[in-house]
Amino acid sequence: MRMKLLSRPEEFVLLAVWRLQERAYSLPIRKQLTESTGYAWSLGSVYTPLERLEKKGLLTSWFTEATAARGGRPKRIYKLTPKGRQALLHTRRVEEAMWLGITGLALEG
Amino acid sequence: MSQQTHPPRWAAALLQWLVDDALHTPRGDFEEYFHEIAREGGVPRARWWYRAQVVRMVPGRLVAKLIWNLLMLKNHLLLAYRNLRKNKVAAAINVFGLSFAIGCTLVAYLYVQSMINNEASHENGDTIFLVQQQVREQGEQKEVGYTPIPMGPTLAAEFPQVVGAVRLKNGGGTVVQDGNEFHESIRFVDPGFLQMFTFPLQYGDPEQALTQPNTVVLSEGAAAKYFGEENPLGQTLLLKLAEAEAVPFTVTGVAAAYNPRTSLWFSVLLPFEHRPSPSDTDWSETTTATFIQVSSPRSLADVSTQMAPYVQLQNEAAGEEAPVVEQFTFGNLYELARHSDEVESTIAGHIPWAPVITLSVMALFLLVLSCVNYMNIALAAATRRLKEIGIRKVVGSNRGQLVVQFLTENVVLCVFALGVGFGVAYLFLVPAFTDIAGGAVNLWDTPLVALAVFLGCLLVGVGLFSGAYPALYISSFQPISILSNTQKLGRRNVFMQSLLTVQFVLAFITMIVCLGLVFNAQDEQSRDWGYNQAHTLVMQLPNPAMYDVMRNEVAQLPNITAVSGAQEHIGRSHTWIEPVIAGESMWARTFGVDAAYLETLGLRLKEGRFFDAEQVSIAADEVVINETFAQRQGWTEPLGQTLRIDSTTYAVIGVMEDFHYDGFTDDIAPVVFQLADVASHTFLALRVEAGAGTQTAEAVAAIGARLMPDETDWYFFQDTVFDGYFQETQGITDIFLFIAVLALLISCMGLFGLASQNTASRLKEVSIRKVLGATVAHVAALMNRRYALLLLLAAVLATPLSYLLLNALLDSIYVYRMGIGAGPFLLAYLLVFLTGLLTISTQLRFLALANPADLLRNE
Repeated sequence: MRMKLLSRPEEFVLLAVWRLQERAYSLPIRKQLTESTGYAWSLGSVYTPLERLEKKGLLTSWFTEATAARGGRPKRIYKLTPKGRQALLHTRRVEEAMWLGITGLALEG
Repeated sequence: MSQQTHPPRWAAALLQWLVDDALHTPRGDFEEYFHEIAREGGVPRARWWYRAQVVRMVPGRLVAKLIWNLLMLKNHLLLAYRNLRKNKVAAAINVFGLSFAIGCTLVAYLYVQSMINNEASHENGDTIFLVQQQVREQGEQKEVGYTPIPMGPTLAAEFPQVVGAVRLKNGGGTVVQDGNEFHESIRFVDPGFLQMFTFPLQYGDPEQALTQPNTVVLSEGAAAKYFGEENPLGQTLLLKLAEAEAVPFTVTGVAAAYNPRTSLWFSVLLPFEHRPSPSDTDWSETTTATFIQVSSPRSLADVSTQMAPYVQLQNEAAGEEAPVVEQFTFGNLYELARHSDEVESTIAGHIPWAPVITLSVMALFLLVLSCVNYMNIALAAATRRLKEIGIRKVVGSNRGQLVVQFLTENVVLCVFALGVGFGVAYLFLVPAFTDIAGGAVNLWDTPLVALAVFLGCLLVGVGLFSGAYPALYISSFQPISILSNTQKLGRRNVFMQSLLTVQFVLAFITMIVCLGLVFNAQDEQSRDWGYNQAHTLVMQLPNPAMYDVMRNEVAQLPNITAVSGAQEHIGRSHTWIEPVIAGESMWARTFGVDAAYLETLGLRLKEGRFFDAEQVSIAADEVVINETFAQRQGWTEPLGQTLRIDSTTYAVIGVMEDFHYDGFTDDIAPVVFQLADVASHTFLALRVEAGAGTQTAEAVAAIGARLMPDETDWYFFQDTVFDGYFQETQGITDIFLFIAVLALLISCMGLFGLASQNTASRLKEVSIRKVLGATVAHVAALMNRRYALLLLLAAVLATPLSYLLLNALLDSIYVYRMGIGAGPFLLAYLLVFLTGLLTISTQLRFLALANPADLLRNE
């Protein structure tokens, strides 16, 4: 058996990209992740999953024009591919199936 | 404000170096985030964050970079190996040229090192200083190497920093052994001499050797001369010093062989108290040299700043007449020879600048020549690699990577050449050179660290100099023009043409200068010595008694036209005297001879007369001088002038033409001929009739074998007295011939490489020309006209340059030299053009035999 599930960082990064839409490049992604998860994400910890997801074909990217705020360098904007959306939805379905009918977890502890 | 709102510069630069991805995102992100933090938390905090972030990245990125570079290096090395293997001829030419040039450079380096660091064998040299005086004499300031006698002991007593002081005085004496007398140079030294300077003793204890009076330390050579192979410790040596009586000295030490270039060389060392004028306290008395040893090189300053009282002491003692001492200076032992030209009467030896400079310049020329040769061949070989370069560029390699690749190939070749060059130097060049230079100096006795640094610099220098331009040039082509076959390489490239010209200019200069030196040496062989050296047999007899006996014996021999006796003899010995003329003294060489000397040696009288044999007693206060003496004195009427030697006044009765007594490198000194008492004659000269030389020599040898069977090498023909000088010159000539041949070989191999690359790249053109009816001669002329023109241009450029260089070199080495004729020039041109033709004719054969159909069919 071989699961085609996303890892948690991958899942979160994909979700952040989807949420940010055309503003989805490294810095806002990092900010979004930090705010949503409550953990401090470093820039490096964003680059790695972004790169890996693009290699898997779940993300595509393109460059915008250069901006002064970036010292004359362009932004790299990410977008989910159809395959990426499928993977995200698939992961969510599996997750929900796993959680289905589970109660009282919070009460016992 | 704006100045502070950008990230720290060094961190940004570091980031750029660490993250060299073409995508820019990390660097852009860092900068944007920086501005965000700056807005929220202030600029300082942002800057701090930026720095911390970059620094944290360093280790990981470094490892990644290193791994990449190693992978690329492996790739470059592999490519270099394959390319060199593919182009064997070019690689062989380059390795040959470079390695021999490197070998010669190495020899030059070792030689220069051994000449400049002549005191390196003295271990404590960095703390040993020669005390010198800066004096003012008749308004002129100069530095002198001698010092007041009490200086050494005073410094040692007064300054705790001075741990040792050694005085040294030069003198002479006569060793009396078995009734024979041998003149010896003697150095009188303080007992610390053998501890301060590094002269390991073969026999004896260096700490005790010179502490007692009447002891003597000998050099290895002197010990062998007087005591043979046995250990002479405790033996007695009879020495006549200033006194007429011989005094016994006990041998307490024998020095092992030492570097003969040290200025502290000696054959006989005696305790300082035996010197001729023993006053220990008189500040007006001077000694040849005073050395002090300080506790550390830095503590010298403590001593030199407190010398003022001694300056005063010295000036008061010396009185009004003597030159005024302005201050005492200190010269480090290791530096002495380098500054010996600036200090008068210094003990320090001189560096033979002429050969040092000549050899360095020639080695440098050879090195540049072989580097230029490498450049030419690398550029020509690139024509075969154009496609490779184009494709590499198309698939994404950038210019930097190509440059690194070509440089790696070059460095591989250079390392190889360095290895071969070192081997050649070790096995062949250094032994040969040592042999020629007299064999006394071990060239490998050199600081190893400095040698390693030199070799490293040589490798980097040669690698960059020869490789940088080809790498940059070749990597600059546009792939589109290469792959569409429109790139034309080198045909019209002015720089390449100039390189070839430079190469041949260097080759011409090297050859002409070397040949010029060889011609000069040839010229010396046939030069007039100023007298008739032929048909003269000279006997050097062990003592005057034997002279008398021998003179009577040879009087019986037939075929002898003149016989003369002498105390000193031209080419073998002389004595320096200090004649005084009108109160002024000068130095002159003197030869004590008899009245027949002029006729026997064939010396030429310029004016006046030689000594009269009939009137020996009257002639005792007459002298004959040479032209130089008269010129030095400014005498237009030298006859009848007078000069005083010791206490006797002599009248000049004749002037001789100048003659050479020592070779041609030094000025002819003023010479005085005096009549010498028969009781002091040891030289016996015979003028023999032409053709009777061998016969007379045999007769003389037979007499000698009967009268003094133990003597060897006691007679010679006068025309052999310069043999030693000529042998030395011959050695130098051999070196220069070798360099000239090497320059010729390297250049012609370079020419061959170029011509064959040129042919290879124009095969199609040549084939079509042949099909259309061009003759081999026509094609050959077409292909090589360019080279012929360049050679001609090089010859034209090199002629005046070589003339100037050769002239300067001859002037600096020889006082008496040849005028520069056309000989060296014509010979060099002829050699280069002939070998050039020969080189190119190898192509002719190929062009003549190749079938155009085969060459054209390949597409």
